[in-house]
Amino acid sequence: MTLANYFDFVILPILTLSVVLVFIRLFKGPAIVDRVIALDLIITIGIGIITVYSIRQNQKYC
Amino acid sequence: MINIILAILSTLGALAILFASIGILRMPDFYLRLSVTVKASSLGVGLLLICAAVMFPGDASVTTKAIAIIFFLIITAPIAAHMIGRTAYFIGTPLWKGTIVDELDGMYNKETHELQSDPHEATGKSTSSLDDQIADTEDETR
Repeated sequence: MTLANYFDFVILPILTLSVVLVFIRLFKGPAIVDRVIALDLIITIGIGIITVYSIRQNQKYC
Repeated sequence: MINIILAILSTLGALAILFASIGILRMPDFYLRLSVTVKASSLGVGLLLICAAVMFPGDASVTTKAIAIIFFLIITAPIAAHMIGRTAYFIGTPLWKGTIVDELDGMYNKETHELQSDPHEATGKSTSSLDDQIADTEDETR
């Protein structure tokens, strides 16, 4: 398995699953602060997804 | 050789982020959720950014940007977590049912937002164990 396939078929699905799990908490969180930290975590995971995308596309301006 | 380093770093980073999101879904309490997510997600994104810095060797701009992102993430994330947790305590978010001790109980003056070391100095709040913030049932914090 090449490194490109590894990023495409392992790392990015793990990050996508993470975003989905956090979205469940964002929708059902009992208090408003639960939703706030869920949004904060979604944005942090977004930084990671953009990083993996820039690695995968060989774009240096990450 | 560099492929193995990249695979190991990205796997660790992705698993740390996955554990953070499982923690925010499964932990029984807002405060436990907060303590799980911020640390684990900072570690995970930091490892992914180090992975990007290793991916483009000899390019100083990528390394500088990755270090800058990690630096500002490590500066800002714990401060944001501290302020969100403090706000949550002020607005009365219940603690988990199994909480043994709440050391802030009765110490905050909720009018002026000052922290006292003696519960009698914080006005307007009795120190009885009946009106504390620890939840009575599991459903309050779920």
